Amino acid sequence: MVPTIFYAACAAAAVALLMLLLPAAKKVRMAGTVLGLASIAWILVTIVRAIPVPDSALGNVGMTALCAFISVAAAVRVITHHRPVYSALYFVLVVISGAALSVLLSAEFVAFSLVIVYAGAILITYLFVLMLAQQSPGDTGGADAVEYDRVAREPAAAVTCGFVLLAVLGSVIFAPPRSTADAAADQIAAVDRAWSDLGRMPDALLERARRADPQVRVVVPRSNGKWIETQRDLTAVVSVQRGDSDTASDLVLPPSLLLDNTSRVGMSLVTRFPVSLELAGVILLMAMLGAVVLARRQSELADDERRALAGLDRLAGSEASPARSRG
Amino acid sequence: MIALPATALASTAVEGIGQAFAAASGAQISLSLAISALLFVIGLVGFMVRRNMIIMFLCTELMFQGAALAMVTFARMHMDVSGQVFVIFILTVAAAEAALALGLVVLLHRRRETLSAEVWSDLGEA
Amino acid sequence: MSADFPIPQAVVAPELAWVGLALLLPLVSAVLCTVCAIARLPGKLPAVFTVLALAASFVVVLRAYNAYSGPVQVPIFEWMSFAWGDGRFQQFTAPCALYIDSLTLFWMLFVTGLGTLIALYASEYMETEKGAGYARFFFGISIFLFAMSSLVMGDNLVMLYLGWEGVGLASYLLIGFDYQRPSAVAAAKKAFIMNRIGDLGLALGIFMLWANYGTLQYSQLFQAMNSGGQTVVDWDVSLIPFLLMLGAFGKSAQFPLFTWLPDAMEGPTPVSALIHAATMVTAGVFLIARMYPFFALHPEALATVAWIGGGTALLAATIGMAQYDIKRVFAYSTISQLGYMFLGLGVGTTYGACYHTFTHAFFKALLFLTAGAIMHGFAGQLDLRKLSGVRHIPGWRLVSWTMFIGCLWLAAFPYTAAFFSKDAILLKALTSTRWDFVFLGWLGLFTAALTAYYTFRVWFRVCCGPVHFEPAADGHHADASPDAHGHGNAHAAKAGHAADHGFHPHAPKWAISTVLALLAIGTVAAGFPAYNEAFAHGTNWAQKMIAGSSAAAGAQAVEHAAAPGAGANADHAALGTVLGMDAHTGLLVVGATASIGGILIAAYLHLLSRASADALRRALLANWFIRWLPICMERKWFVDEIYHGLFRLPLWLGSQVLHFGDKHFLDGVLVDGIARIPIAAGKLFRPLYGGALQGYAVSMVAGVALVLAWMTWVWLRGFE
Repeated sequence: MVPTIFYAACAAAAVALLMLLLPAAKKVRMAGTVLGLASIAWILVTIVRAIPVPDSALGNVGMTALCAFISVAAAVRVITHHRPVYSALYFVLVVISGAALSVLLSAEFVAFSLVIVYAGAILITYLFVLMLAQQSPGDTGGADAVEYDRVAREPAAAVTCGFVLLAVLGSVIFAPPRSTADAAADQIAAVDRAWSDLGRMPDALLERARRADPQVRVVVPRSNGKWIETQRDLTAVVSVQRGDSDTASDLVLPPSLLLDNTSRVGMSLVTRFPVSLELAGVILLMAMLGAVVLARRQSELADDERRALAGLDRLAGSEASPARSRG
Repeated sequence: MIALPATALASTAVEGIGQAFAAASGAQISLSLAISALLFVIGLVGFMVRRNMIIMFLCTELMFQGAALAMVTFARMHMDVSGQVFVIFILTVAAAEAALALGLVVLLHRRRETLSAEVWSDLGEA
Repeated sequence: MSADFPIPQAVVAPELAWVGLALLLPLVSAVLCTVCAIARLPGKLPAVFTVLALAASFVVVLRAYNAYSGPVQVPIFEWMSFAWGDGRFQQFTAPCALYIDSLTLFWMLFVTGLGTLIALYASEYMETEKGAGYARFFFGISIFLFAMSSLVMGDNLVMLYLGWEGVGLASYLLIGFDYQRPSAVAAAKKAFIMNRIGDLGLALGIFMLWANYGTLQYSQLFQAMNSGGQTVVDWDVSLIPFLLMLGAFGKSAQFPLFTWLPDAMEGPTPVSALIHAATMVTAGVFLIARMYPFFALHPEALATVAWIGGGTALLAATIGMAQYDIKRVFAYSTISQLGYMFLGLGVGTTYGACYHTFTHAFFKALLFLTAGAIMHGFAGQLDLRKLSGVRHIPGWRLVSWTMFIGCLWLAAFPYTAAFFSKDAILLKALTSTRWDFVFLGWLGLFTAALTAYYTFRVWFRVCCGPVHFEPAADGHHADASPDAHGHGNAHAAKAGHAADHGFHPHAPKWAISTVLALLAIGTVAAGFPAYNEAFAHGTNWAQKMIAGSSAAAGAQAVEHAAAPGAGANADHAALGTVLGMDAHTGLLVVGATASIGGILIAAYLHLLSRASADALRRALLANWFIRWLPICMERKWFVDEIYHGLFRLPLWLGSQVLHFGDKHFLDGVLVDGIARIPIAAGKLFRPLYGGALQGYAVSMVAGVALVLAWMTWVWLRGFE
C-alpha cells in the first residue's frame, strides 16, 4: 500500500511548519498553528485507522496518541520559539512526554533515564550555557529576541527536505504488519531469554523460587547442567530441594515471576554488550577531558610569568627574584 | 531456544504474563514510530533553520530523542531489551556531545561575542 | 508552327575550333591584367593587353564571318556530362561548345568591335587611375567580354547562363569600380540584386526547358521544335517563355526591373557605354531572339513582351525628358530604346529588333563616349544647365559634332540608320492585325517624338548657345533628382583642377578623339544595310543575317499564324496601310514628322528661347490639373519610392520583426534562457553554500532523503 493520504498529511504538516518558521504576521502564525495541529492529528488518525486496534489495547493507544500530540507540539515549539530558554524548556516537555511514551512501551528504566539524564542533567547544562551567553536586553535592539533567533535560515529548503524524509520514514509504518507467527516467535524468544537471564542470577532465582514455593531451600542445577528450562506454556522449570530434603524436585515458575525491566536491561548490558559499556565509559571520560580543555580560558601571560612558569627563574638566580618580589 | 508450535501461543492467553511479554498492539507501535520520525524530522529541520548554535545542538538532542524513541519502540515490538540498551548508549553519546559541543559554543562565543552560527562561515565564498 | 518554317539545323564542325579564341583571348587578357595588378606594373600595360586581346577576338569573329556558310556547332571540350540512367531525361550534357549561326555572328561583330573601341577609349579615359585600379578596370572589361562571348556563342543554355551571370558580375564590379564612394557601392548592389530577380526567372526557365525537352543544347532543342513535338502545349511549357522573359527584362532593364540602369551610371563612362548601353543590356534581346521559336508558341507571351517593351519605352522617355544629368538622360534613352527592341520582338519583327540593337549599340556608345569626354574634360560636370556652347570652345569641335551625329541617330532623323531600324519595328506594329499592336505602334511613334525632343534638349543645351561652363561643385552638381549622386567628384578631385579658379577644360587627346571619330563613322555605316535596300534595292545585310537564324524561323511562324498565306519573306509581305498611304511611305511621313517635330520643339525651348523652357515648366507646375505630370517625370514616376514601399519597407519591417524574434526569442529565451537555467539553479543553491553550516546540512539531508526515497520506492514496489 502506498500511503498517499499520509503523504498528503506530511505535506500539510510541512506547509504548517513553514508558516510557523517564516517571519510572518501573527494571523499567519495562528493559521499555521491550527494547520499544524490538524495535520499532526491527521497523521495520527491515518496511522491508527490503518491498523485495527483491539479493545484491550484502546487505552494504551489513546495514551500514546495523547503523548504523541504533546511531544510533537512541544518539539515544534522548540524549533520555532524565538527565545532560546523557552526552547530548552519546551525540550524538557518533549523529554517528559518521551518518557511517558517509554513507559507505555514497557521501558520503565529508559523512561527514568531520560528524565534524569536528559531533563535533569543535559538540559540543565544547556540552560547554564544559555544563561552564560545570554544577551542583555540592549543586544536585542528592543525586540523580544536577537535577529539570528528570530529569522529562520532557508526554511523552505529545510522543510522540504525534512518532510520528504518524514514521508519516506513514514512509509515504513505502512509496510505489511508482522505475521502472528513472527510475533509468537519473538515472544517465545523473549520469554526464553528472560528465564535464562534469571538462570544466571542465583540469588534472584532462589528468591523467585521461594516466591513460588516458600518451602524451597536451594535451587540446584538440573540434570542437563542448566539452571532453568523454559516450558511450552512459557512457564519455567527449576530443580529445587525443599525443606531438609536432599532430593531435587521440579518446580514450575509461572510467567508472573519473569524478571522486571530494569533487571533485564542491566543483565543485557553486562552480558551482551560489555565492550560497548566500557567504550561508553571511555567516551564519557574523553568528553569530560575535552570539555575541560575547551572551556579553559587561555589567558595571555606576561613574558616574565612565562619564564617563571618554565622554571627559568631558578636557573637565572638572583637576577629574576627582584622582579618576582616586585610583582 | 526451544521449538514450540507458534499456534499454541496466544500472547494474552498465557495466564499472568506481564505486559512486557505480551504482543504489542500494532497501532501503538506504528504511532510510536511515527512520533519518533516526527521528532527526528522536526529536530532536523530545526538544526537547519535555527541560527543560534545552542539551539542547533538542542535540535540534535531532539533528533536523539526521536532515535531513542524508535529504539524503545523496536525493543517493545520484538520484546527484546537490546533496544533499550541502545538508548543508554544514545544517552551516553548525547551527554558527551552536549559537553563537547557546549564547550565549543562557549569558546566560539568568547571569540565573537555572538551565538550566531553564520559568523563562522570563513570557508564559504559568500 | 511546323516544318514549313524549319529552324536551320547546325552541322558539327570541329575544324572551326579556332573560333573559340574569341572566347579565350579576353580571358587571357583578364589573367594578364590580374598579373599586372599583382606585380604592380606601372603604365598602360593592362590597357594594351585588353585592347590587343579584344581586337584579336574581333579579328577572329571577322574571320569566322568570312568562313561562315551555315549554322555550325563547334565542340571544344566536354564540360558537364552526367548520366544516371539510359532514359532521355536521365542524362545531362552541357559541353563547352560554340553554336555559331548568323545571329551569333551578328551579335559578336558589334560586341567585340565596340569592345575594342571602348577599351581603347578607356585607356585614355581611365589614365588618372593608373596602378591597381587601372588593371582592375581592364580586368573587368576583359572578363565582361569573355562572359558576353560565352553568352552569345555558347552552344547551350548552361553556357548562356554562365555568360549571363558573368556579365552581371562584371557589371557589378565595374559599377562599383570606385568602391570608396557609397553611392557607387549602392548602385552596384542595386544592379546586382535586381538582376538576381530576373536571373531567377531565367534559371527556372532553363530548368523547365530541361524538364520538358531533356536537353539544353540549342541544336537539339531546335530539332525538337522542328520535329513537331512543340505543338503540344502544356501549362508548364507555356510557362517557359514567361520565365525566360523575366530574365530578359532584368538584364535589359525593362519595366518592372529597370530602375537599376540609371543608377548604374555611377560606373565609369566607358562602362556605361559598353555594358549599360551597347552590349550587356541587349542580352535580353538576344535571349528572346535566340529562343524565339519557344516564344512563338505562345501569342500571349509575345504580346506581353510587346506591351512591356512599348510601355517601358514611353515611361523611360517621359522620365528622360525631365532629367538634368546627361548620363541619366542617356540611360533613360537606353531603357526606352530597349523598349523598342522588345516591342519589335513582341510584334514579330526579329529583324527590326536585332537591327535596332545593332544601330543603337553604335550611336548610344557614341553618345556615352561623348558625354564621358565632356565629363572628363569638365571635371565631372554633367549637369546640362551648367554647360553651354561647348562646340565653340577650341578643341571640342569633334566631340560636339560626333555628339550631334549620335543625337541625330537617336532621334531617328529621317534616313539615319536608327530611322530605318525603328521604322521596321513601328511598321510591323502599325500594320499588325491586332489592334493592341497598332496602338503600341502609335505609342511608339509618340515616344519617338519624345526621344527626339529630349535628345536634342541635351545637344542644344550643352553644345550650342553662349559659352558657359562651371566645373562640378565641391558637393556635387545640382541634380533635380532626389538621389542625385555626384559622379566623377572623386575623379575631379584626382584630376586636381576642380578647385582651380581659372578652370580650363582640357580637350580630349588622340585615343578618345580617334575612337569618337571611328564610332561616328560606324554609326553612319550601320545604316548601310538599310540604305542598300531602300535606295539600291539590294539585299539588306542585317535582314539576311537574322533570316538565317532561329529568330527568323519563329517570326515567320508567327506571321504565318497571323496571316495564312504569307510567304517566307515575312517582313515584306502582306503590309497594310498607314494613314491611308502605302505602309512605307506613310511611315516615312509620320516617323519624319515625329522626329523633326521633336527636334524643332527642343530647338525652340533650349536653343532659341531658353527662358521659355523654364517658363513652361513653371506654368505646368502652377497648374493644379497638370502639375502631377512634370513632378512625376522629374521624380521618375516614383518607381523607386514605390519599390521601396512595396518591397524594401516590408522586408525591412520583416527583418526588424525577425531581428526582434532572434534577439528576444532565439537569443533571449532559447540561448540566454538555457544559459539562465544553470544560473538560476546556481542562485537557488548558492545560499546553501555560503559557508554556513546549515546550508551543508540541508544539502546533506536532501541527498539522504532522495536516496531513502528511492530505496523505499523500490521496497514498497516489492509488496505489489
